[in-house]
Amino acid sequence: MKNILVIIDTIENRVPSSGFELISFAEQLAETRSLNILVVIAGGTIGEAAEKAARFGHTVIGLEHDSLIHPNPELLAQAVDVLIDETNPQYACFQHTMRGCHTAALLSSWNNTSCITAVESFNSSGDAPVFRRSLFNGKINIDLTPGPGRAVLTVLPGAFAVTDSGSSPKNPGSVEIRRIFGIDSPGRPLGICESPEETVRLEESDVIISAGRGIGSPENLDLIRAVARLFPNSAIGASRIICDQKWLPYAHQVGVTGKTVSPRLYMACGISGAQQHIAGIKGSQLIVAINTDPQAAIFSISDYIIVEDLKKFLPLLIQKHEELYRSP
Amino acid sequence: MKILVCVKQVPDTESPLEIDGDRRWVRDDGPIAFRMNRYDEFALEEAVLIREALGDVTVDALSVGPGRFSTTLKKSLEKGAANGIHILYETGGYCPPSLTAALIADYARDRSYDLILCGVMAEDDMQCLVGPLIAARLGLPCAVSVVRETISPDRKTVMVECELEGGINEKIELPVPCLLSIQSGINRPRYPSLSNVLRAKEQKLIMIQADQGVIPQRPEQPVSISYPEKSSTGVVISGTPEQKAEQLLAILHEKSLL
Repeated sequence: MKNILVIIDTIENRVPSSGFELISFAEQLAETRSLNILVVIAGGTIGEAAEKAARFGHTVIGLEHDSLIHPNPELLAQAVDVLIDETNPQYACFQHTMRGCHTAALLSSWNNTSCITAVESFNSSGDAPVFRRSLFNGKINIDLTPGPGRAVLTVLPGAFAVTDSGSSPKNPGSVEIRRIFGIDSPGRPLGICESPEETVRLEESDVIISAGRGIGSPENLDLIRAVARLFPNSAIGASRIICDQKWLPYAHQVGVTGKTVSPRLYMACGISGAQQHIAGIKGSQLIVAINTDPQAAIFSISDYIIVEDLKKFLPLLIQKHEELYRSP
Repeated sequence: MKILVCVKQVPDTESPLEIDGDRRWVRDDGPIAFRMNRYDEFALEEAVLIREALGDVTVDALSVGPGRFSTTLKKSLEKGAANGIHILYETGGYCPPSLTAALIADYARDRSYDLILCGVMAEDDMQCLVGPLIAARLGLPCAVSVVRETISPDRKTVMVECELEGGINEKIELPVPCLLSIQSGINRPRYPSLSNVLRAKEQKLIMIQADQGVIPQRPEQPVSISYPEKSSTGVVISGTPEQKAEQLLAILHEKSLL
């Protein structure tokens, strides 16, 4: 039986929220192609995380190196390359993070195999599985099939839900911890830093009103603020581009590279819906999206869709609220 | 110091995108506008900022793609690149990142660049691969998703801050030469100056035919492209803008959110 390698990396020995989702992806793929799953988990001291991973019922190999306490794609790729030689897998899968892509790129280049990133779903009905991913900010999907032989994949966070290992208790898989030696990366890691920006309590808010490119100019943030004031316990969120343009500090950024949120109401104002943004808001109870572009990807996960220009619509919303719900 | 910046031309994602007849790619003959990949604009600006800070630095911009990509290279000259290099490759749609990376690496191999800068991803295919693939082919150290960069006074190392997830950054020191993939927000890309616009008008691009010999033989293959399925649960609120506002308020009120 062919193997599928699931490689989960950690930051300071903690598994990122998307880590165990990879196991769900591999289980679904393994079922259709009859593959054997091997979970590889890498870090500085990885015993605890490896035991946790073993609860999913698959064999776990823990890779330990002091330099793996922080992401180290070069070192990880070299260690995984050794495992590839040993286990001859059909697929090697990583989380779709920037460093996951970096590691995947190195392995695919060294082994001359194809690499497909940000996989959202797959279709396994034909001879070879076909992997689906987004193009153009989610406006179009592409189905890709790997070239012959082994393939390296990265899987989009949020695309596959973690199966609850507690509800259907399985026999935990075996755990083998390997200390890796003697390989050094050309870069010298100098540590992790958190951006010391103002405290924005996005995670604790019931309502998040979020601004995207569609607001047009920073002055229109006042409209977003005014809408937020209609709700108790609300906060202002933003898409990446708003923070890149320095219209709001990065502490407001919602998405995989910013904050992952799950409010009672998420109102996306002029946000087109980049994958990394969508992955960060999937847990919201109710999503309302306002955008002028009827093709906007954000609409595909919205509960309520409004095709309007914010600059006209938000003042109307505030005005109607005043008239209808704030009677003297 | 020599810096190579890799730039790509992408369809403006705000343009209406239409899938072509044989479902291979989007139509590029309609009302579609093309421009420089935004992440590459940040990479180019970073290179120009380095030149302004250090002085004796050459910034070359390079692109792999069909003839129309030349306009993006001209734009690179307008924004401050000294030379524009166009590796002509006519793709009829999806272009594997491994192919682009192989052609760029082949060009850069013996040209002793101290830094190679790429955008962290292309806005069209969003693979995040070309940068690290070039680094792998050239055996260069590489940092991805760079949000800050400082070159040491002796120019032998570069200190970078890379973005991880959840608002966490990692600091890494890399030896020169190396490759950096640049994340958006690292700087504010400038508008072209008049003198650069005039220079770009006169200056010829360096045109190179893609060498078929270096192209990877077994890349992934596109099967088809499609529009995403619309969510079945999403309700489109319709009517006049006033009616839409009233309906939305009624829904939010009913759900005790207001």
